[in-house]
Amino acid sequence: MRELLRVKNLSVDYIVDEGVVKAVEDVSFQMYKGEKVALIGETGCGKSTVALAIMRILPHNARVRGEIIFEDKNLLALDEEEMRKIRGRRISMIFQDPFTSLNPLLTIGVQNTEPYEIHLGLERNEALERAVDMLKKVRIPNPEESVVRYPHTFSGGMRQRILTAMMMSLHPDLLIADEPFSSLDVTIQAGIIQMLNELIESFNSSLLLITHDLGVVAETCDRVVVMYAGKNVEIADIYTIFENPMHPYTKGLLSSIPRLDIKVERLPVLAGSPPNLLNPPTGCRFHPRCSHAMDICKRVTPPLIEVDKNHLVACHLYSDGDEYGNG
Amino acid sequence: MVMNMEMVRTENLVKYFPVGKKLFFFGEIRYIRAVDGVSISIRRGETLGLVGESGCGKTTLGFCILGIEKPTSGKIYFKGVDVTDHRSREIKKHMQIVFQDPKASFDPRIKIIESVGVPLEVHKIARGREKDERVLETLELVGLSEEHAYKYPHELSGGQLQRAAVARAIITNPEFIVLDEPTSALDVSVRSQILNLLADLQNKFNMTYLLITHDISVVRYLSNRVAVMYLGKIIETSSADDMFKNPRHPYTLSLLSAVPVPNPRLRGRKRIILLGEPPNPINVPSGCRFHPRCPFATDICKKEEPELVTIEGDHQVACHRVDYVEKVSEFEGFAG
Repeated sequence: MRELLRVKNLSVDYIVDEGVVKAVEDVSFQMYKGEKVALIGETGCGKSTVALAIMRILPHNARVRGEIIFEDKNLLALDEEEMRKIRGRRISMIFQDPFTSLNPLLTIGVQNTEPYEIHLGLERNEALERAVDMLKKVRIPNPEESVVRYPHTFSGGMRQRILTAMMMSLHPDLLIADEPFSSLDVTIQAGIIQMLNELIESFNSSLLLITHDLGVVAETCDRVVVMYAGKNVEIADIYTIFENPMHPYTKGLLSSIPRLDIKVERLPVLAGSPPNLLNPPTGCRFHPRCSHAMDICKRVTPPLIEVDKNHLVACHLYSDGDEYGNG
Repeated sequence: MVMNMEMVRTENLVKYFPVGKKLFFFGEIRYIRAVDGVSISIRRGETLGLVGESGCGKTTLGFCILGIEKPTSGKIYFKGVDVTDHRSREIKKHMQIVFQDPKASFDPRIKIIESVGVPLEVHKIARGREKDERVLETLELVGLSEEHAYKYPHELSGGQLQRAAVARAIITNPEFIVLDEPTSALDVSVRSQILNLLADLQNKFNMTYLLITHDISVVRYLSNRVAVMYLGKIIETSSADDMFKNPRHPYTLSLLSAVPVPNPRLRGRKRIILLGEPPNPINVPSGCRFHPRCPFATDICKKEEPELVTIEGDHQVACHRVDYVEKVSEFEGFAG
């Protein structure tokens, strides 16, 4: 498989009044062409920040280090002109809330033709034809009539479909979807996941799905990157993550989901809550909540090491290096 | 002594909200039929899980039971006493609520110890030093310490705040608590802590819960019985075990099959994916409310509204096609 995207030692700090929030630290992973990768973690773990860094739409108080290689080009080193040719055309992004992502004052037709007009320079009529075609693909009923309607006349599920149509209209190489389903009801969500999967596969696009819903991940993705408090702690294929997780955080996260098939008497629990990244714990950022924490965990940041083929874990339990982390 | 076993009962409860304006002869007042004839019974010490999608009226039903909303018609009984129009302070003390968003349920300018103590003042149970002591004791019960008590809401995490919200709900020793999406705003690892806490408190104080949620896995963990709501009506109710092993209403079936399962090996499983969107509660479809989206609908479903009928034990379903659905679900392996 051909490599599409490589995030290399990405760090993002936010400068705020209280100090420096180390939102993302030393995150590395890659994605292949046609692959669906999940970036999972809890609120504030930095997963959305990674997405914004790839799109280069971080707020002004962000400081970025590292490299994001997209097909031989370091996105972080491109000038704004070059980036604009990639953003929206080669890499596009769907945000969580379909209510705020569409402009309430413009019709669907005006908004969904924009990608064709701006990136391909198509005439209005041809752009409209293509937009209607795309709305058909995401199963909007009566697409020809829908283009003259305004966003508020559609339900949340329909709006998310319209947005998906817009973002997929130029057949991007990479679609980043940031919690695209979490504001939807499950019966609606199931249909949209199915539609998105088909669309991604038929266009041979790659998907970076950012979510905290492990059920959605299991339904959709090929590989999983687990983040905790700004670090990536484990990377593996979907079956390994769900069946043989190795990092104590991944294990705890998976076991704390209530299950439908059996009734458990008590849920296993990860004690405590995620740390404040203004002042993250020293060493392994997970050590204050970890039941296996050793002395070394408080002092040395565990490196991401390959414990098995394509299975990477950042945990001292599995590193046989010396206490400075030099393997 | 059947009466004493029952904590809450509603009889044909209806709540309509008017929308639109009437000006002389122009315009018309229409109604959102949020709750449209609901009869449920919640037994002492149990958790009834009320499941349904957004807008199905589940929160309105909870609010009516608590007296936050006044029902349009129907009756509400609390421990056999009619509380539809009037309820005494003593009864109010025994009915409490935990809301979805812990950040929105606390006044940002008031310290936790003050907020949690408010019910004690309102119900004239304790004040001053005694009140503070009660608050500290209750906070300890939910896993918070004195250190948290003297903080402001923004200084606590979401999980800690939800613990404080639970403390505020149980501080009057209520017999009945409505949990309105108690974990939806929380992260996965924190969610399980709160769920365990709620289960522990229920065991300890023998409280009765009405758990309102759209998260089926939360219902599975916490509930003894489940009621499924669709567009203002209860369409299926049974014990939790039965509901998950043997769902009978097509909507329940599709709801359960739509829940994403955290097991990648089950990816290709057979699912019912519903077409269309939930209809507007202003224009409720004729006959069975679910018929426009139902894969099994026939002519009778468009004309006649199905009654909730007992199929076995305390499993009740409102569907004309219930026998057919059972055959299909066995054949296609939806059950279990």
